[in-house]
Amino acid sequence: MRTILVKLIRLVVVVWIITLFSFTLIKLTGGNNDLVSKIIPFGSEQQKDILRTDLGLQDGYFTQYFRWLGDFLTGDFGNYYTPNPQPVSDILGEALPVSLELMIYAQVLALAIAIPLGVATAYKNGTRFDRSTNTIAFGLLALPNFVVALLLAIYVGAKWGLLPTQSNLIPFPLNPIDNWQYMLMPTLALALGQIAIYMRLLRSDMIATLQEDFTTTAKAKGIPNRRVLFRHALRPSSLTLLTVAGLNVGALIGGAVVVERIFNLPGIGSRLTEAILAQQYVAVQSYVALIAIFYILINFFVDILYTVLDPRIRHARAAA
Amino acid sequence: MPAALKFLTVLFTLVLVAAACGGGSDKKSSGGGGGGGSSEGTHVEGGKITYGLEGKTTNFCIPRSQLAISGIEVVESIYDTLTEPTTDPNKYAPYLAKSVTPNADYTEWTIVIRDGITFQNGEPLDAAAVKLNIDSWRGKGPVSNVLLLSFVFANIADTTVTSPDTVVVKTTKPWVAFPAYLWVTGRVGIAAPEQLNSGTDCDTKMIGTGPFKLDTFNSATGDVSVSKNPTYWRKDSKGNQLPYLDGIDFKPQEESSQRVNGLQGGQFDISHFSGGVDLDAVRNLGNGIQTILEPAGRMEISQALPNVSKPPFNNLDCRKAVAAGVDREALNQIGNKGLPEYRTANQVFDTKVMGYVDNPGFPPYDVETAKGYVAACKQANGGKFEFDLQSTFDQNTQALAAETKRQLEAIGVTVNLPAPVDQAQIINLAVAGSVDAFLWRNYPGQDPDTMFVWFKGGSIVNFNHIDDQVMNQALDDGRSNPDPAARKKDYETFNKRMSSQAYNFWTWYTQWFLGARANVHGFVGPNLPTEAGTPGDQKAVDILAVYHQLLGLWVDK
Amino acid sequence: MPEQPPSPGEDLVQALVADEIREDVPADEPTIHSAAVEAGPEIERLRRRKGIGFSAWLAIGWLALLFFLAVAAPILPIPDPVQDATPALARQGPSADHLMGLDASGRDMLSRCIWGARNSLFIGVVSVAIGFVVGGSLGLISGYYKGRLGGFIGASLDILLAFPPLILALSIVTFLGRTVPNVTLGLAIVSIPVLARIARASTLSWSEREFVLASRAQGAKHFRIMRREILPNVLPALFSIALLGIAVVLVAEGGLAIIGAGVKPDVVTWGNIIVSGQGELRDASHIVLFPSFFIFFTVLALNFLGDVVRAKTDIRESSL
Repeated sequence: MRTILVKLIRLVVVVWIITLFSFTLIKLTGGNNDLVSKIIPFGSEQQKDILRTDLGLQDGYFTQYFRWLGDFLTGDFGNYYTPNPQPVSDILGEALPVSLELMIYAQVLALAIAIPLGVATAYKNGTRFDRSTNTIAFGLLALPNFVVALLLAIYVGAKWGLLPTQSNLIPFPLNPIDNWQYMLMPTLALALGQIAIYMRLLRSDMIATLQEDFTTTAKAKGIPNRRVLFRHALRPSSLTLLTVAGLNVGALIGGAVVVERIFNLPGIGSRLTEAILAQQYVAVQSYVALIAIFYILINFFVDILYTVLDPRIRHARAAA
Repeated sequence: MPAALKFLTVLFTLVLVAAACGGGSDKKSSGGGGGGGSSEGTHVEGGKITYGLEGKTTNFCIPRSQLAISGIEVVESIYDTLTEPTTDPNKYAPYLAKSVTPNADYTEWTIVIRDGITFQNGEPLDAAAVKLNIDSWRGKGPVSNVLLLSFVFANIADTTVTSPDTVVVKTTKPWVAFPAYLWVTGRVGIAAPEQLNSGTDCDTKMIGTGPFKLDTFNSATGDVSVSKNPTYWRKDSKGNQLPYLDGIDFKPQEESSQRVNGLQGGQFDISHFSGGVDLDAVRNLGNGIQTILEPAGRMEISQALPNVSKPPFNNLDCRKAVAAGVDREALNQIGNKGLPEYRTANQVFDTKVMGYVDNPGFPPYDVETAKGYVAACKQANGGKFEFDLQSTFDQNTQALAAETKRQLEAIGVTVNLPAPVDQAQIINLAVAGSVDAFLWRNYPGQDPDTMFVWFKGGSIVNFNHIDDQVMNQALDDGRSNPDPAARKKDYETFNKRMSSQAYNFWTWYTQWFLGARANVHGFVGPNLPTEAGTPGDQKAVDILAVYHQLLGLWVDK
Repeated sequence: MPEQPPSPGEDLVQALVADEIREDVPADEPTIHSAAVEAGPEIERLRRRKGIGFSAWLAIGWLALLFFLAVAAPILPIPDPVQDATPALARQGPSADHLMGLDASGRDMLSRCIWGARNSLFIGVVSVAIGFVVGGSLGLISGYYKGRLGGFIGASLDILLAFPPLILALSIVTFLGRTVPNVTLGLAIVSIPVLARIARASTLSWSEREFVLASRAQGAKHFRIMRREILPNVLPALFSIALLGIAVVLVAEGGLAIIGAGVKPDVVTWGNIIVSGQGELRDASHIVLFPSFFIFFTVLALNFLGDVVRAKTDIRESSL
């Protein structure tokens, strides 16, 4: 319990510093005047004064920060300063599920492919199958996701017409098949690199485990190979996999932004890049903070899960 | 926050007017089969299509929304306008109006409204509703933050309901081309009072009298879904209820190559395009995919638009240096694969628009002369000739910006390419006068009075910041002079002055086109209705900067 | 993690700042995702063999060639990548005159790819070099001084790690401006905590070794111990991760370019060339494919060499 408490306090501190950092970002644009003339380039001095007052730019740094933080914590993430300013929070509600969906699909797909491959290559360590799978995985690691995405869109999507290129996204509950059709290419583009990472990790981890005494003992006791493989070797390795999968969410988030942009998926990534091109810095700031906090929370939960699972798995390993 | 927001709103409204303009054309030059003008005869009813749009619109409150061509296409489905363009650039046919008639000196226009039309929410279309719309455009109605249209309609002094179906509009100065302004490239759809009176909801709660009614609108993605309005007031010549389609899904996709992909992959049944690279791609898709081109004569003009109110472009030599120093054929090669449809332009008007002249005096491409201008410009500016050329993230536009830079640097001009921003932000920067020059496309062929908004000194959407006495005078005269011959002279004067002063760096006429799958037909609506409401002899405008009527679209099963 | 007896508040604070390294997971896994490469069979064979093998020489050869081209670009007999254009030949595919064809503006693609290498490698090498020096020093210090100082540095680095890498880089570039130095800075900041972690983990294990303890017992100064005893042992690990880091940065540069948050488009980088060809994939795919090949082979070579360095220096066994 104490470990969790420590972690929780640390989480709060990190989140707090992240908000400070995100808030400070907008100050990097070069002073209040620059900021205002980027957000509303067309305003007269008088109108810019009004916006300054509205954003509270006349106040001290910390006054501004705490007001911003207060708004942020109460779900007010600022506006897009368009004709009729649109609150960022309105957009989040629609965009967030799409991004989550993309990342979950990619993660699940990557693990679904990587685990069997990892186990198989570990088991057949050193064979031609192992070598060629490894070589392919090594190649995949060097393939940028945006190149994969662009090529999928033009060939699989357009030229061969196998999958839809436009994200006429249908929510999963309405029609899972349609939803998957639209999500398949973005998911693939995002998952390919991850497959290689997980597979190679699992493989080497399992090779190590298979050489350990308890698996050898299990084999000697006449427990069938498959059972040894999955029950005695995969289970301990799954802990490593869990941790890495959790930490990999950071790479996944970055990849999702790129892939969403290429496939015009209506997720947070697309909204973030739009806001950048529109110089809507208030919105960019909020998105950055939200994404970072989301990432920290994921890591936090993985960490907790790890702490909870760890003794049990260790126990399982020892008992076997 | 309200005050600042209000101001923003206003400016964005400006942006809307700025962003798109449509014109008409009279002949359909169809590249593919089945793209013919009339949709009558063999049509099939029912079916739903997906329409790929080049940009998203986040606000559909007509008086303040920010409509570019994509938004206009959507508005076209839900709303009708009081007038419609015809195949003649100077003639606008009454549409929701039964008639639009001026008094002798064009200071008073009487609009009589068709009988028996109701909005999609059941409200009647009557004089009061029309007055409410016009007043809202002027910024005198229930809609707040109206800026652009309020400038456009600033010449209106007063509106009065004189009978249940008649509105009289009094203008400050005579306004000959007023009927053109009851269309404004399809932007001023007549909205139901319920929408106009709904405050912020006005942005999303679209209610019109049009052929389709709103099902869903997602303001974050810009997706709009509309379905057939079963009680629409128009019928085709055989008495069949219009529209033919059950519905349309509008889906924005800013990347034009991705719209080509969508067309090929089958997610889009129809989409619009403006570049030669796309034209070439769509033509080669096969599978019976059609290209329907906007006919020449009323096209938009592509250009690099300078701010002439500050150095370097407040100096004529500097402007002429760029005009003469840029090889537009080379740009065309890059931007449009050199396709002949993209004709180089040397003025603000296409050939069928009043005011067009063969040679308005725009400096021809000539490197040696250009170098002379560069020298003169540098002398006037302390030895320096440097400017920023702003562009969007669009790769084709960026290639053009890079090529312009390359050519100009070869003659001694320093061109900086700032980080790209989106189109709305470019407009904001232009309004603020904080950008030296940017790549742009505008001015579809309509009544030349529409130039008043863009180029009259002091207009908020005068992005060039031109305040030229000769042009101002010509615009004022042309607006009020009822004699067509005299007007023509005014606009020729305007045109020559503008081109010879090199206030804009023209490149080419923008060849808009539709790409559509083989089973889509009826891209131009049936003939425009007579006073009785049935199709008459007047053809509907063809494709005008890709504006086209949607009610005649139909698909094979 | 065994339950610890409850302890006074000071302990809690200590626990908050101290950042335990998980022994179960190689410390580099989290953020450098392509770095999370476990040794493949070839590498395992390499580890046992003398020399580094043909593939490694191939990788070194490619990188050497690339570096030569990048450095020598201004004096090579190739057309200028920006100023020399033949619009009439725009989008033409490979030919004898233009081995990699021409881009959408009629500029020689080979020249652009070479100049792209110059700018992209500059960004990659300089940002990782900054990460190497700054992150390496911080890691060394925090690993050596395990007390408050180490804890504080560790916690600070954790804050940086709390951002998804691409998002952190993107926000720095967006708010500071889209120039080569800013993109380099953004990616350097991303690589600092990653390299610091490696250095820290490595230092932690080395500083407990007998020869270090012996040196300390003999009264050697801390700085001297760090420099003479620990650093030489930490460097190989750091170097292998730095190689992988350059690979990651090269890909990140492309990702940033795709979403409109990289170096501004008129600077020739591999990412920008790919972006410029995005709309031309249908009929002039060479504009995207050639720079993609450059990225792919360079990343492949860097990943491979990173593995080789790791295998040759037995980093896994010795330090992690």
